[in-house]
Amino acid sequence: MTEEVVENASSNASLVEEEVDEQEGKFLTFPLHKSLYGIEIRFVVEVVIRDSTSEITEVPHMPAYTKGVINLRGKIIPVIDLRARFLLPEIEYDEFSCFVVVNIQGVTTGLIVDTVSGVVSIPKTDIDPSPELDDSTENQFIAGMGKTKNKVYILLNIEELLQKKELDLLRQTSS
Amino acid sequence: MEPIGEEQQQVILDFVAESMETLESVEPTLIHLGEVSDIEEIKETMDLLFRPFHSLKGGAGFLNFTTIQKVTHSAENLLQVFRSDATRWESKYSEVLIQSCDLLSEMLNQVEEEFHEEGFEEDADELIRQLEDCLDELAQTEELESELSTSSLEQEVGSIPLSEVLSRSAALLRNLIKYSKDTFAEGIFYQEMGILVHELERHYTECVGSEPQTPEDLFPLPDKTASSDKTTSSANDSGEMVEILNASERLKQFITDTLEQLEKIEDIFLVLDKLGGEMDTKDYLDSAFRNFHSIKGNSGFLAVGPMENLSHKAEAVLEGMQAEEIPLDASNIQSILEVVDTLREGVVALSNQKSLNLERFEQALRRLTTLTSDPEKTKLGDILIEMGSVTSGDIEEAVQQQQSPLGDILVQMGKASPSDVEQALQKQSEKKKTGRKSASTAIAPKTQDIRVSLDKLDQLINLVGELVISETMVSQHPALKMKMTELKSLKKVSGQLHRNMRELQEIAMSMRMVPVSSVFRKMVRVVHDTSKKLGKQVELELVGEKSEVDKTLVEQIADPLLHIIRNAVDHGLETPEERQSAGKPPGGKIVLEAQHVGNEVWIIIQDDGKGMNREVILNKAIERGLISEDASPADEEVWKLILEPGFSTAQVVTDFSGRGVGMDVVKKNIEKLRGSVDVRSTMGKGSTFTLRIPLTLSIIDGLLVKVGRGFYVLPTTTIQETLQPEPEKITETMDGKEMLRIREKLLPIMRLDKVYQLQSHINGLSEGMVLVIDQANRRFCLLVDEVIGQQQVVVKSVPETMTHVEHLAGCTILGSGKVGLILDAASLAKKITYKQEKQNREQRVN
Repeated sequence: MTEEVVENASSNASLVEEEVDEQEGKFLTFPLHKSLYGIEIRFVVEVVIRDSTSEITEVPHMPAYTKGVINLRGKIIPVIDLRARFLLPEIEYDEFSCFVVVNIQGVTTGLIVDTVSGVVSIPKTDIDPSPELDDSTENQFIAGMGKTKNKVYILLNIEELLQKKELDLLRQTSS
Repeated sequence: MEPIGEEQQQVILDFVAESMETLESVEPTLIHLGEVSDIEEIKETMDLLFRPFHSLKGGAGFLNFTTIQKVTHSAENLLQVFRSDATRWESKYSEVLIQSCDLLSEMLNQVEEEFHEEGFEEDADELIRQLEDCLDELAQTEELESELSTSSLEQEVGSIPLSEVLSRSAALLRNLIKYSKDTFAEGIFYQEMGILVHELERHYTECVGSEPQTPEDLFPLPDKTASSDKTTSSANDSGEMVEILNASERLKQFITDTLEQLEKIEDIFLVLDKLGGEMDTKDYLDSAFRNFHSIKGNSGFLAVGPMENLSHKAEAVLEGMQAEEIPLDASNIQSILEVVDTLREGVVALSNQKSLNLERFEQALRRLTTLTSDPEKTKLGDILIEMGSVTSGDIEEAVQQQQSPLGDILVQMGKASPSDVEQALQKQSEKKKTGRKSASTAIAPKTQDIRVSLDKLDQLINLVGELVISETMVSQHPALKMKMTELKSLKKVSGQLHRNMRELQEIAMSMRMVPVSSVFRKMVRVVHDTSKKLGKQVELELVGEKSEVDKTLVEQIADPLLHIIRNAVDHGLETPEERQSAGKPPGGKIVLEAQHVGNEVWIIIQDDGKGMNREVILNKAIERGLISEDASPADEEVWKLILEPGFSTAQVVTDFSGRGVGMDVVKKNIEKLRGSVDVRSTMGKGSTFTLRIPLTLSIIDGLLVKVGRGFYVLPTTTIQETLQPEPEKITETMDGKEMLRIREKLLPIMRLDKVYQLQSHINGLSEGMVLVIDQANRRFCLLVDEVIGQQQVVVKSVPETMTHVEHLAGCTILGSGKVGLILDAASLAKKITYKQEKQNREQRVN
């Protein structure tokens, strides 16, 4: 199998901008469309570069953002396009596209992102609550806004993201 | 409650798992007991039953599960009665024992989950009370039955009137003379003599006015002089004065010593039994010999004649084994183990101041004698005695003339008719055969196994599956393929790697395989319960229960089997009266068989009942609208109708079956396992159900097809043929439904791209390929873009979030590393509704 583990937070320290001892307060960050996003590192299993062996197999009757399944070293996991999930304009996958493999309560899922930037530490004090503009669905995916010296990260509520997805699924299948 | 450490938990779980297994084996044995009448067999079965209870008691005691311990102890007590005297067994006792099993498994279930056994105290007490009632009942009958008074000393001594003492003394002396040759009986007579002598003394002292001795001082064992060093003859003992000793101290020592020695012997022979002839047995036999020798010495010293004789004989047998004159095979080891059991019982009886079970001693001794002397001749004599044709005296006489065959002599002596001997010889050869059979089953290699968690095993199997895929990816890598012609040696090793891989995969797969016997055994209980309630006599024969299938499959065939068997008992088999009037034996028979056929396991359930009535089924099917009125389907088709939902021809709905649910469950469950059900029936002769199930669910033979960009796999078993449709054979109705004419039949076409809303690469029907699928009596054509080929695929489950996707049976990883989706042909077939069915449905709604 030829997937490359680009970065496993615990083993690759070069990408870490700021180091804090605990896993808490660390976020895997990536750009998506016009903003920067962050996922709490404890949910991230690994990051896999997309290549010929991890080609996505479409699964019919799934919501548009679930692009299908991939073979992750023998394990078959569903993959979700985050752009599609957040209703951002979609782009063609290229050599930088990555799967961020997350494990939430035992369910392994791949999130398709354009690329990953690294891991940053954001202390709790630097996290603002999500902006309260309206209660649109997307907003519920935001756990907070993380601030570093010169950047702002949208920190994702990853549990909500998947739970939402499941709820959506249920709604879809029952209708 | 105290918190339980992890280690302790593991110990408890091990205990539960082991005990569950044991209990599972106990149940069918118990049920079997209800059907046997042969004393020998009952006795053997009792021994089989006793050990599981005993080990369960031990384990429970060790882990402080007092309730379980109490229940097993009571059950053990009850069994002990039958072990020492199998003639007392009555089938009514099996009920309470089965109840004990049930309660124990309930308790074990709780222990497994909650690690305590609280909450069962009441049930347990109730059960123990029942068990004790049985014991009391038995004890009462024992008193009535026993000819010689064998009740304990304490009750008797001091209360026998002079007249009875005198009359019993006379009877005893008479018996002594009569049985003086019979060494087995002497223990009992000694005891009786002890009592009587004491009583005589008491009467005497009462007459002269002095105090009698207390019973404790009077354990009636004769002095060692009574037997001296002679081991066999006791004839001269009877004449000697029996001296009553204060033997309790010596006796206690004897009991503990002997029990220890017996344990050692037992251990030795259990080891020998396990290891068979593959080791140096000398040391073991020496040790066993020494132990028997000391038992002989001690029992001789205490003048417990039967024990002395038996251990003496055992010694002789061991000598024979050392000299390799007597084979150290399973049946002989069993004989020795029986001797150990008998001696142990004797010791226990002595410690409880009860008399020895002489019959048992006699049997054990006889069995050993057959080992030391020529087995054939002795056995023949025994058989003749059993047949009542001759007496033991005749045989002895005949044995003295051992020059010509025993049978001839007996005939010459006029003690047996030639036909008797002929019959006996026949029986003898039968016995030899069955003897060999039982020996061979006992020898059956005891496989050593370890318990591995299913998760770990699945991980290993998954990994092996991965390895196989990786191997294909490496060996068929394009870069390597180009160089292959240059690198011949590489080709060779890669071929070897491939073979090793296959082997590894096979072994990994076989690790999940378990024998079907666990499910089959459950059916024994089902038949027992059902037939009892319905008042039918049913014999269940299990064949090929060692056949192995995937563990998950075993679990899933239990339900279908249950339905079929209940149905067979309830509807298939007639009542004894009906059977007799039909000229059949009153007891019905069901054969449950498992056998491997190619890549499948066939489970065959055959009954010899009344069979199915074609007319009744047809009428019902027409009434239910399953077939049209003018249809005249073949018999096989007719029988299959009973597997349709809501179909029941039973006149009466009973507790067990006939509600019209059940048989369709059978079909559904079996089809879920990618298996099929076949029904055959002959009026008046019975019905046969054949469940054909794949050996494993994790690998299937599939046909790989492509639609759009996706790869799909269909199990080859569902595909009848593949073909490229010719345009002129396609008919399109005005509402866009397409039909393909294949020979004489018009089949509907289902486009997979339409089902899944995929982007197909083909333009017209005739560009694609058609798979003719036959599933659940529905045939249709499935249109795909292209057929890639047939291959074995490892089935993986669909990710949790995708389980709702229709028509998916699983996923698999293809040679390229891409994921393929495995289609569920049965669910696709459901999309096709025939006009006929639609009409029927409408009718039903109305």
